[in-house]
Amino acid sequence: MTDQEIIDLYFARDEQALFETQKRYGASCMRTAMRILDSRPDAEECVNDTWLKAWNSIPPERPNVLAAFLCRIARNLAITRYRALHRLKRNRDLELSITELSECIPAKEEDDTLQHLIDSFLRGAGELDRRLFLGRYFHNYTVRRLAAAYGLSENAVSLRLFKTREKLRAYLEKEGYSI
Amino acid sequence: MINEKGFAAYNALGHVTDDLIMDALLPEDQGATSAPVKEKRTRRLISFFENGWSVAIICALVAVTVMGGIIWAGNQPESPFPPGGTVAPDTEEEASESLPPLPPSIEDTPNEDRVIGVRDLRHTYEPVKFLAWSRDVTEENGMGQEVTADGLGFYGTMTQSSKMPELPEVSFIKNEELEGFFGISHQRDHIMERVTVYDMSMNEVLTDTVDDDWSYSQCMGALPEGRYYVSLYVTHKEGNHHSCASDYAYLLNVTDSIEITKSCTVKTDRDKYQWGTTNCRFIATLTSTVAGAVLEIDDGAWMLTNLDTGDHPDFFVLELPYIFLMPSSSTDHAWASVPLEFSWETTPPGRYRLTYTGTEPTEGEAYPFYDFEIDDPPLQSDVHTLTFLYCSDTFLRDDYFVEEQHDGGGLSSAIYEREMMVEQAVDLDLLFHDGGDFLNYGDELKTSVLAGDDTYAVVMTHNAYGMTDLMTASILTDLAEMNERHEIHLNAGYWDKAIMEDVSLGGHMYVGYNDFLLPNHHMVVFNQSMYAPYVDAEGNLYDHVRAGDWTLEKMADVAALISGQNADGETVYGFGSNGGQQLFAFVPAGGVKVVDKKDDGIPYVAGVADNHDQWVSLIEWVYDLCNADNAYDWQENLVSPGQNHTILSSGRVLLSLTSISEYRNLQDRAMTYGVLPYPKYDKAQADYHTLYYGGMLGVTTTVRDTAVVGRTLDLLARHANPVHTAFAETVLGTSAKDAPDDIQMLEIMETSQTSDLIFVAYDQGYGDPLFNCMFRRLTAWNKEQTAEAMQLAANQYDRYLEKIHKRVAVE
Repeated sequence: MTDQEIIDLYFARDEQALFETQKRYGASCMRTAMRILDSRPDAEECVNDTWLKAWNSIPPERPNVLAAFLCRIARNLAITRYRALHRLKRNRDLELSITELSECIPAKEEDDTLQHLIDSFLRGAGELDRRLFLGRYFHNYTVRRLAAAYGLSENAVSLRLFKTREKLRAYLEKEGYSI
Repeated sequence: MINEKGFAAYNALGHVTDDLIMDALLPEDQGATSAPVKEKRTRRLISFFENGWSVAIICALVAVTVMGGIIWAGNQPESPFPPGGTVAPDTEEEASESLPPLPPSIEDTPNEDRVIGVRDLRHTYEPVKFLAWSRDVTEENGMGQEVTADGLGFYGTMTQSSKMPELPEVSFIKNEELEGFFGISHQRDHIMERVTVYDMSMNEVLTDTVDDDWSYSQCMGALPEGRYYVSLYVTHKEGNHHSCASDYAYLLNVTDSIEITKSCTVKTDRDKYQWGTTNCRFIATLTSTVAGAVLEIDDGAWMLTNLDTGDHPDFFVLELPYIFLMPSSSTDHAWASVPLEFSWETTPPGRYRLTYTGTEPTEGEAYPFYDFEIDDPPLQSDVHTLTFLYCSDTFLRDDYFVEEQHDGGGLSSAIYEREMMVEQAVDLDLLFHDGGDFLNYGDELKTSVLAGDDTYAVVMTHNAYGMTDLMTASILTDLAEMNERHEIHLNAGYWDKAIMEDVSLGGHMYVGYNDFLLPNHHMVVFNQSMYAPYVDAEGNLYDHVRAGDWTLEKMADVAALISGQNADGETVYGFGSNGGQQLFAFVPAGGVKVVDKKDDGIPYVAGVADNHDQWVSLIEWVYDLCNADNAYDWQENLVSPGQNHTILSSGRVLLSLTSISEYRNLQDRAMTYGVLPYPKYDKAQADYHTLYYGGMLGVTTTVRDTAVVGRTLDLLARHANPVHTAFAETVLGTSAKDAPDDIQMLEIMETSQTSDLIFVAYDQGYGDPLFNCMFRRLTAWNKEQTAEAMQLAANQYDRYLEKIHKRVAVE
């Protein structure tokens, strides 16, 4: 079943939509949640919430890319859950990546201009740097995983991420943002 | 915790557009979209092997194999398939071409376990040697592209076999909610290194991956109805070692449920063979079967030779029929896979004997190393308590003895669980008595033993002080004799017999070292953020260690990178040390044995007598390191106690000498530092050597039942692996899976640990002149004067060594 057919099921309010979504994207959403929560029970609840949120959002929304739509929901739910849990066992890798991110992106959530600038910057960055940056800070892959996936050393990945962060920071500061 | 600023930044990035999100997603998270990528690459290689280059390449592979080399998989990307899903099939026709069918041997495989064999390699395992191999390969790869010297390799997994673990329990689960998923669960000390799922209906690899997120406990993957061949490669984690490995192979029939129609576990066993690997799936992997066993290729069939009988037992290679080719890191070539059966067809007929020329097991190392199990009945004895007296400034009580159960894992839990298990196995209460600091523990022990008191059964000593007294005053039992009576088992890997022999005196092993003692090595730490800007130019330091080129020269080069001041105007340093033993540790690290024994067993200062030039050269190197403008000497600059690591922890020293016990006290070490072994003298030096500088074990002569004490020491050491794992995580300040490089470095240190009689028979200042003239006066280095002072000190120490030798020597 294609993404479009699944979305049509949502619009028809057919619960088969959830089944097909789970079948097709359950694993990737689970991994997204696991990378943040590092706890299977929590991740499972997060994924279930993802389906619920998708069900409540479609319609009226009609995602262009269903996978990205779900991934974004799962990511947001997972990070919210992570914060709410005040985990005893902290996900240090996640916290490190967020700390790094906060050093190059200002704390402004609902700022269309900022989001447009981030998007523009990433489109202008090299393909590898963009993938590494989003892989690390959007998808929360570990440096090790990225290094293995792209055939780089971990230090090379870290260095590239560092340089991209510095460039993004400089770019945003040039556009008038204070970080 | 995440603050509001971080959370806002995280959310701000959450609004990037869909195409960018998808572009950065790795294939396994893109749904079932990556198979064509793999198929495409496979097809390329099929055509590659169908052309004339195949024979040449395979011949090269075999030639390389026969030479005895290996690519260490731990150094390679985990998955043979790069991310991105960027390569789609060129045509539908190409995409629809099916791969060769599975070889009939998989279907015909008996539904039973196969036992191959294992020997303990913990102290003969020399990972650095394995790396040399891949450097020699230079080939045109058959696709019109030249592969550089280190470029052509094989994806394989090196297996270091060690003690026999309990095999993990593997299960497949049809998840009701997430239909089509399968899972594997096993114990935490088993690491799932690799999962391969082969769709037998479609003749394609569905997944072939290692995923950090799941490697400890489970994996998942879409598994619609159909028939599958699933291969799992699992290693058993022992302390810092990823050792004994097991391959699982299953034929699955997936309908509404998952039915295992055939299973085969290729596992290791300690009973029969010197060495075994379960991982004979690729040619390159086969070469990892080092240290003793002989594997032969006979007309394309693998055979295992039993070292004892020369027989060739039945042996099946259960694996997907693929060789993976890894491209050069300097090119953009993709990973590729080659159907293995093509390689068989092009393997020239003949016999190829692959014998590792490195460390061969000696006869004395042959199994069985030990002849008891944890669940054997306790030995009959009237001893009901067993007391360990420990030197309190060498051993932390909490690292060895935990009185109450702790929840939530970690070091305390591991210690407690082992203690309970061993106490039950020997039916004894284990007690730990604080014998005081290094000046006092020996006196209390001597007083007790010389009075005939059997209160203390085992002493955990200081690493140097008081040792000679204990060894020469009839306080300690000869552990070699206990070994001869099979009360302890020194050939087992959990004892370090080599160190014990090095520090033996007069033909007696009075002090012992085994895995019950936690490691305390001297090591090098480096500040990762300070080094980050130099990685591209200077290379990854971990890689230098793995490649065997972490030498004094390299260390000096790296130290020279940092000097001057940082952005805050503070002085920064390329190298820092605390002098003393930290500097002396360069001597064994550089391959110089300070004290050796003559043919008549009398110890002497061999470092001066036999290795004088290298010793002096070592001092010169270290002198230059310590006296460079960008070096910091804590000893010299010490203002107050506890200040030692102020400079280091403030992020102002790139390379620093420390020890495990010091390092674990550093804050935020996991985020800031990396650990490395001491460097080799030069590249010609075969191995790293790491000075072990912790205390040792001794059994008192008043012990009533040495058999019970021996069994206890054996069990405490043999079941120390969870403790070592937890300890390594404690030392690093992070979980093992988050610091694989550092874990590997600790492993290298542990497998290369060494000691020397000078570090044991050191007390009363007899060893001091050597230390003094070598390193404590480095600021006044003068080659001639120091050489002369060294000779005088060596003469004096020689006389002392001969004296204590004669006091205890076997007549």
